[in-house]
Amino acid sequence: MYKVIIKLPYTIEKRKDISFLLSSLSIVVALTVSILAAAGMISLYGEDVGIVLKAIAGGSFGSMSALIDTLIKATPILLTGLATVVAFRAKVWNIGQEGQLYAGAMGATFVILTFPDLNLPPVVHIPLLLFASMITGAIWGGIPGYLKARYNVNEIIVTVMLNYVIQYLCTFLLNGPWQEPGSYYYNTVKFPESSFLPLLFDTRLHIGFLIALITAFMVYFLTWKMKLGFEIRARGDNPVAANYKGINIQRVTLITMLLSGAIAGLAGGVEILGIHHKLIWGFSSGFGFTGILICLLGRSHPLGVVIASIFFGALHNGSSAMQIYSDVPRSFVNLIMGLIIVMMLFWEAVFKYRLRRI
Amino acid sequence: MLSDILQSGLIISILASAVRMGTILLLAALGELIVERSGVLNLSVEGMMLSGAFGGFIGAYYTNSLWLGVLSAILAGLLVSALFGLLAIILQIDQTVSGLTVNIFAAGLTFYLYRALFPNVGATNIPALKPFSVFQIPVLSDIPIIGKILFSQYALSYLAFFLMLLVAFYLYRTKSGLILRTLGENPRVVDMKGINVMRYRFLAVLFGGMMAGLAGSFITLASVGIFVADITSGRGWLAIAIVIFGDWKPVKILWASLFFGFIDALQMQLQALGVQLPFQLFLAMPYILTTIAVFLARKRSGAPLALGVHYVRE
Repeated sequence: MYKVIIKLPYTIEKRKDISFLLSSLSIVVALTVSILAAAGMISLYGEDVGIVLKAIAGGSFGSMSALIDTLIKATPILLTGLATVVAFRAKVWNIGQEGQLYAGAMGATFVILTFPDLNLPPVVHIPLLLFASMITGAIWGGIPGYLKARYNVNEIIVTVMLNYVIQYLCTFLLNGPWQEPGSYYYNTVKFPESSFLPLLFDTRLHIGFLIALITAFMVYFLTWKMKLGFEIRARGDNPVAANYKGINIQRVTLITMLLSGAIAGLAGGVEILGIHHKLIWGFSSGFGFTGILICLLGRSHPLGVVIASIFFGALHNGSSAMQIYSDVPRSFVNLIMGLIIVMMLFWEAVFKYRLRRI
Repeated sequence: MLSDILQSGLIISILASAVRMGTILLLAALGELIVERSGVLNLSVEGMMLSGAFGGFIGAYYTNSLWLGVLSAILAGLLVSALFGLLAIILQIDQTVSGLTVNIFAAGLTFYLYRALFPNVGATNIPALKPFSVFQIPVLSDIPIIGKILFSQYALSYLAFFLMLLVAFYLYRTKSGLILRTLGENPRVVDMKGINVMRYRFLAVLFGGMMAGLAGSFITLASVGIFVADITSGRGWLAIAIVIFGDWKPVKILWASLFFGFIDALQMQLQALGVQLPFQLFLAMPYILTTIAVFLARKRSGAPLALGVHYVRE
């Protein structure tokens, strides 16, 4: 008995670092593979792939109003994506963006309903309400943050659990003390006009999108230009080394969760003050969870998150058009989103290896 | 009201339903136990369970056989866990990121497939099947009280108890179980023995996937008979919390599962009784208690040392 051993003149080895070029290439490959897979599945429906893709593109970027809609859809997920960036950079695994977003929306609502006769001008009223959103979001993120920092309690499980808790609290309030009198649905009364986010260029686009862009810049500045940002990244890269450097890991953990919660809370405030003008059940279609996706897709970088959120906003927007022009259901987008992120991780990992001649 | 609750019939029904809900969690937690004991932190339990719930429903719906449904649920869990294994073990992507990604993927996939297979689903038109009925063990189920609680359960519940014994036996009484436990503590030792660390861990992940799939099928095939998006509603995460609360030990995990099952059952019963408290409070109860439980379990020492750490050969 003997074995035939074929020796190839190559060996596979892992790179130490992956260059920016290769990293970008892996995104391109992942997107291409995902689009091809999507096209394949569309053709399974017996639809003309070209027409469906055209419908998606047209429905998301085809006209001024479509583009505006895309940006409106991108706004909340851009913010929750940024909330995720702050947390994941520190390797603090905040999965509670959805709950913190609810907390933020409820914080603004609380201020409006508790002080109905403020009669403030919008310039004061809106910042006040958004600030309230950030505070409540920060509180809801701070609880798991404190438990993690002080007692080393697993933040993943606590944030997931708190997502459910706040949503039940929200339904309770919307079905009880906060419900619009006489309303059959779960919603509050309409907010006063001084709380409506102003619209940009006479379109439906509210300043929430600008706020989100500014937040993106601030997150960038914080993470790469400030001492706190350095500490956040140091915690993520190597907490032991960071500790030796004199960085107070517990403090960084708590601050990270407070910040992340505040940004997610802002997303909730912006969404209800910009779009619904009341707190309404189901105002978030999983924006918090999509934020995690956006962060991973955007490579945990604010600029990447801006691009990824507009891309997903477009995909969501285009899916409505797709449903009108074809038999492909809207939920197709959920599948594609999942596929893209798996592909991205996959190809990035694959590109980490290289063939080397022996 | 209190006297109603204290009625023995009601207590029995709560406890019986506690066992039922608890064994769902037990199945998933046992799978996760094996995975974590091998040193892999698998956060995709929720996604695997959801896939199992979906796979079980679809399998049973199209074959008209509940047991074939269970089989397809196991298969669905297996496939999803293979994806996790590919990302987290073979490609060595951060285990937390891999787990979260697989959850997102599974949620998107099941939601899409459900809508694609049943395009006309509406509030009044939800595809349903006739779920499992309880299997009364002859003689034993006639024992007063205990018979109703323990021996008038679904077959899957008995299976869960049996699997608990099997997992405990495997971990502590077999050579392979010893290797698995060592993997979670010090994979280098196992590697030096000439055992393939990655393969072992991958197999552990596949087992976890099958168990989570089985647990998922329990929800759609034994409890409700329908599938809706997010039907697992955090039970996969609960299973992970149970492993922590149960200190990574099979028997403690059994008790923890039953405890959380009891909370779930209590919540449902109190709601059904129309106790004058907002029902949302009851619904939130399992999640609040889980938070408290992981807080209380913060000093547990049973966590495998190498949990969540990639093994890199030198």
